[in-house]
Amino acid sequence: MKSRVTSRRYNSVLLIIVIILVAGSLLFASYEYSNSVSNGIQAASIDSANSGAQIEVTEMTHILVNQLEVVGKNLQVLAASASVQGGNVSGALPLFISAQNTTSSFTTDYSWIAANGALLIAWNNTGAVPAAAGVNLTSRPYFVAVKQSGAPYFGDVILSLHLVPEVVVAWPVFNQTEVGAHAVRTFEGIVVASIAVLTLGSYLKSQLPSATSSGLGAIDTQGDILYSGNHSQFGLNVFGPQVQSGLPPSFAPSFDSFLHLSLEGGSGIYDLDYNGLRASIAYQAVDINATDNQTKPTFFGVLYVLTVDVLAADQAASINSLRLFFAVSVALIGGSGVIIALVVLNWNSRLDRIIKRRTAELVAANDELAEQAQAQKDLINIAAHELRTPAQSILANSELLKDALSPSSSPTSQYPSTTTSSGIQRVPLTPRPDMSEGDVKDLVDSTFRNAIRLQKITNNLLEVARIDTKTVKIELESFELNEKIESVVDDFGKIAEAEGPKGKDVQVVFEPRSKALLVRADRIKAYEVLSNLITNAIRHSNAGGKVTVSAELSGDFALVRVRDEGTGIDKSLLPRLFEKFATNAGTGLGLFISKSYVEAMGGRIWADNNDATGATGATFSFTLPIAR
Amino acid sequence: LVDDDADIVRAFKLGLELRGFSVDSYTDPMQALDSVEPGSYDLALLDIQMPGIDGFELYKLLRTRDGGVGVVFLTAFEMRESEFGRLAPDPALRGLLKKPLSISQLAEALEARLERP
Repeated sequence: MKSRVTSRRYNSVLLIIVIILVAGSLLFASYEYSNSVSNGIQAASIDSANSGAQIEVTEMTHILVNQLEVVGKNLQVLAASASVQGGNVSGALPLFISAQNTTSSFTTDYSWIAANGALLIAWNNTGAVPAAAGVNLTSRPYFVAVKQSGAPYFGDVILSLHLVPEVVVAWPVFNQTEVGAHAVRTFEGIVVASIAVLTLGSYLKSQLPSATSSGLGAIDTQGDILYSGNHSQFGLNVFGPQVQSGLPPSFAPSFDSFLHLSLEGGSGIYDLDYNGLRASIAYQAVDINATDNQTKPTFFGVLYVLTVDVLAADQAASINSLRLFFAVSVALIGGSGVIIALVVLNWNSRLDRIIKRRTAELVAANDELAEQAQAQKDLINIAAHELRTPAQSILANSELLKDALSPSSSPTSQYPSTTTSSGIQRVPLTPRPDMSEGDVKDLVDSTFRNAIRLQKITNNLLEVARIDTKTVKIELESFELNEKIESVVDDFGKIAEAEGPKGKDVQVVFEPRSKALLVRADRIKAYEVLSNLITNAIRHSNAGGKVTVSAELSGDFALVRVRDEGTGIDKSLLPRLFEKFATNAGTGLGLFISKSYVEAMGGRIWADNNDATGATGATFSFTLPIAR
Repeated sequence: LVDDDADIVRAFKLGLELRGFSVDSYTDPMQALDSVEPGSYDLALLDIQMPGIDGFELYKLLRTRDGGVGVVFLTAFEMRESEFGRLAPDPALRGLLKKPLSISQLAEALEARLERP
């Protein structure tokens, strides 16, 4: 039993561990799953941000290149025009005005500089630009570069003569003449378009899709800023102290190496992750094919498009909350599982306790039933004994009387002197050829007495059966108890004749102690109880003894006592005195029946030995309720 | 003959004597024991259920006074043979008569018991 309990407890612990493990792995798996899904979503959103940035940067580069190439084409046309070739300034002016008009939103001015550095034409949106005095234009970087290379020039940021940052596109003007078989080119000057950085930036900005949240940046080949969201940075070098000091130290090195990389040309993407801000910077080199026969494009600078991963960041937040939700849900589910398991186990053990208790009750009930069955068996056995004993006397007596009435078949004649096979000779020592008259009288008396006894036992057994099946009928009525007792005591003579051994000469007296005792009880049952107790008292009295019956008022009850002077009650018998067949005296049922009657009438019955008062014998007492 | 019921003792004694048996009878087992001397009786007819001492115990005591005395038990109880075998393991004790029985049946049983060696 103990080992079963232990193993059940072991199973419970195992079950809880399994549930916790399952809940834990579910939690872990779900967390991992949501993690991977959200990482995937985040990556996809970053990708989308990246590709968005790349698309934008390509588009913007294309616009810028296109615009620069338009400027280049204008300059090419100007350089090749007959007026410029012929040095006809007045004839060329309309061409310059027209050129500026076509790119007015982009270019600051178009100008024509002669080979000697003289400014022949300078035209901006408002008209002719006066030449800056005292400046030798031949030393300007674009002049130097174009004169030296003879090729179109797309320059880095320089300060204009008016100290405005600008980029310059310049085209050589060659006068081509045939000298023999060779074509000879004479450098006649340059045509120039200058683009203020501020204008370039504004132009680029105006080309950005209006809905975009992207940031735009552009630098020239030297790292000078052509455009930035922060206009004060226009013209500054990205590697210069003013820009670098604005970069966070932890972030600057990787950003700078990215800038260096972007300056090598081509295109690419840079993932910026700074202080929780995720951004993609796509870059593309601005390569210009200035002329149709150009083999290698001119590297003008780099364009950057910065796209903040707002979507990715938003998604990361919702994914994090989703992740948390998943974790909390699984934890709750797991917790609920454990709680349910605990509840079930607790319920189980309660059920177990209930079953144990019920089983114990059943066992007890079973024991009681077995006891009852044994008691029933004992009752039958004892009843058989009690019935057979008088039956034996009646049978033997009547047989003897019958034989006596028919002398011819007297058994005496059947039993002459015999010799048994064992050689014992049996001769009647006191031959009794006949019965005396005394014998006959004794037999008749004995038969009558035993017949009475049989009748009484039969009645008692039937009464016990009624008591056991609770079918005893009690008919309550009010009557005067003293009178009743007196009549029973008067009847005692008969009782003594039936029960008492002859010659006992027991005296029965009644001592009424209350004047009138009107009780409410069953008259016949009360008689039975009283006569039963008196009979018992006589039976246990010594010769010449006295039985005293008394009756008195005690509270709401009449108290009747039957006191004898006999041997008293065996102490071992006292506790079960009123049970069936507790004694061998009489039928052994009288006290049981008396107790049942008294209690059915609302009273109590008990017995004491008189030794407490220093006297011999016993006193049986019972109460009956007083009539109201 | 020992039985605590005086009426039974009277009838049995009378009936057996009329059939040629010589019977001493007692309702008090102790008196019966007191009267036994070696060889005084062929057979003891003992009631089993008696106040103070049962028939088996009484027979054991009787045997200490007369080793050769046979026995037949009487009982009014509903006693199964196996139960009797348990209570009286000695084969010499295996004579059991159940009340009520007629004196003729009793006498026949006693005859049969006496025939047995």
